[in-house]
Amino acid sequence: MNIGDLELIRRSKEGDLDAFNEIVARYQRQVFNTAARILGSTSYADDATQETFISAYRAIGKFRGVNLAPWLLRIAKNQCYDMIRSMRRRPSDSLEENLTNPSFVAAQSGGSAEEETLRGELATEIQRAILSLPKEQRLVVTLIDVQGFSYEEAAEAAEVSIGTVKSRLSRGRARVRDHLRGLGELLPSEFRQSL
Amino acid sequence: MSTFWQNRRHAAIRALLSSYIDGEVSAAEGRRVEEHLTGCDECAAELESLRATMTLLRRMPMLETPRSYALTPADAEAAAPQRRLPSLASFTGGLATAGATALVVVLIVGVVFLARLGFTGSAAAPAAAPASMAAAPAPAAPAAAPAPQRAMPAAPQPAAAAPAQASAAPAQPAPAAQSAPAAAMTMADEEPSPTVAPAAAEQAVPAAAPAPRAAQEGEEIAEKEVVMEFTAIDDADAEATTTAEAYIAAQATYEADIAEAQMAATAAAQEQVQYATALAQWEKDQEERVREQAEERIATQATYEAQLADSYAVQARKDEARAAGQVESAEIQATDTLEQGEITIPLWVLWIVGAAALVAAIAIAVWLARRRNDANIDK
Repeated sequence: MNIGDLELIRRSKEGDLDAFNEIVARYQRQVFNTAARILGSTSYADDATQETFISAYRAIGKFRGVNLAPWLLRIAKNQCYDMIRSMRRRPSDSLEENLTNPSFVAAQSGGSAEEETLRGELATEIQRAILSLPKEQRLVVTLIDVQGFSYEEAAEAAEVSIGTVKSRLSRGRARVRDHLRGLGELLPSEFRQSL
Repeated sequence: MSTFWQNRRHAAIRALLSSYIDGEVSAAEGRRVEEHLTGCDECAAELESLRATMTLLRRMPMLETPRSYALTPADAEAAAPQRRLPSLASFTGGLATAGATALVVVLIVGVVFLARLGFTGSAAAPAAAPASMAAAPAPAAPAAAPAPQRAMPAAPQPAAAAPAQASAAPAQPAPAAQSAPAAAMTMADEEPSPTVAPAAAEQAVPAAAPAPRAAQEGEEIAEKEVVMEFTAIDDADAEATTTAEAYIAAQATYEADIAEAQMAATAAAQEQVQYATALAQWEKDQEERVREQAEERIATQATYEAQLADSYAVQARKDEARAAGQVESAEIQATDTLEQGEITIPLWVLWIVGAAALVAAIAIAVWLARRRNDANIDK
């Protein structure tokens, strides 16, 4: 049985915890992945995801839209930004140290295009490139390029206009590109030329 | 001239490439990019490199969640007692009402004072000049030649408008003070003072509360985002204070560490590096933010100018096509203006409104005074 999101939202508003947990099950992967890419840390992403769904549960009564993903990602974004701020206050909690955490690199699903999925050092380097971006650019690059969301969804999640999404994405991509250019041999051969 | 326009054109095209790849450009922009790409290897290579970057990003692995984030009944219990939030509409509405009320009071007092004091004509003249300058809309494209000005008279200049508005604030207290030193000075001091607005805000908020609460039922958008928007407000506040605090704290400790390190040599060296990193990061972010805004403005300006050059040179006589270009440019600038406002909307808006209202009031006062003067002279 496949109940629509709208029905789940309606039931959740009435306090049906099972319905809400079905929403959690549907969107936790997107939320967790977004948080992990933005924070560069699976353990921080774990906290951020947990907090996101608790906040969402608290706020579901006020939700009036139809599209849950951008709404949840907006909550997640705020959680992540909070964490980035608190990490900055304690510089020893470096984002970097988590990057080489094997769970971050290795934890991945089968997916349809298995051989296309990046692994190991290259994936770590691209994650590093994402982390080198200012958090606003990090968010749109993650949502649109890594996760495949539309400009409209990204704009809603980031709480900015489409025009702003475009310019942040443009600058973010250019910066990631510049970072990748320095990788040399690590890049698959077909990309070395075009980069 | 040609090199200048060529550089502008490259910048304008490059700003569009990323959106062009995603098909997120208008038909006219798409045509412009394609025309340019056929003759420009450099921009074509840029396009390819962006494509490759996007492909690599898209191939990043999707991570598995380490666990389920389903809420337990206990979690739900803990989360359930909702904070009873006033709607954002009533909050900002109250703030705006309070600000407006405070301004009106200050303005009326100012107008009455100035009118009572009865300006002399000579003192009124300098006051009127900056007022009219500030009140006039920002002039059209400064970089573009007189011809483009005719082509797009309606397009506002974001860059030019900002300094004009900013200069309005410091400009007016001085001339006003010349004519009516004591009264105008206190008025000018009062207006920007933060103590007036909050005091009035306290009075206005409870009064404004019932109406927005009724509106809350109807206004879907405001209501659905209350919690989120509150988080956003908290974020903005927290960000402002914490960044400042973090910076001050980091700097203080950093300096202390230097002193310590000089005495105790190597022990503190490592800590210094950490704080320096934190500082550098903060500064980099700050720089980035400033640059982001500047770049945006430059890119918009470049697009706008390239488009102008285009439409003027090639389509000088095709009025319809030019009109289409205007609409597009206006759209781009509208989104750009939106982003500029994104960070500091409430204060920014209040200041602009306040400055404009003050200028208008002074202008009215001057006009009244002059008229009275003239009438007296006539008699």
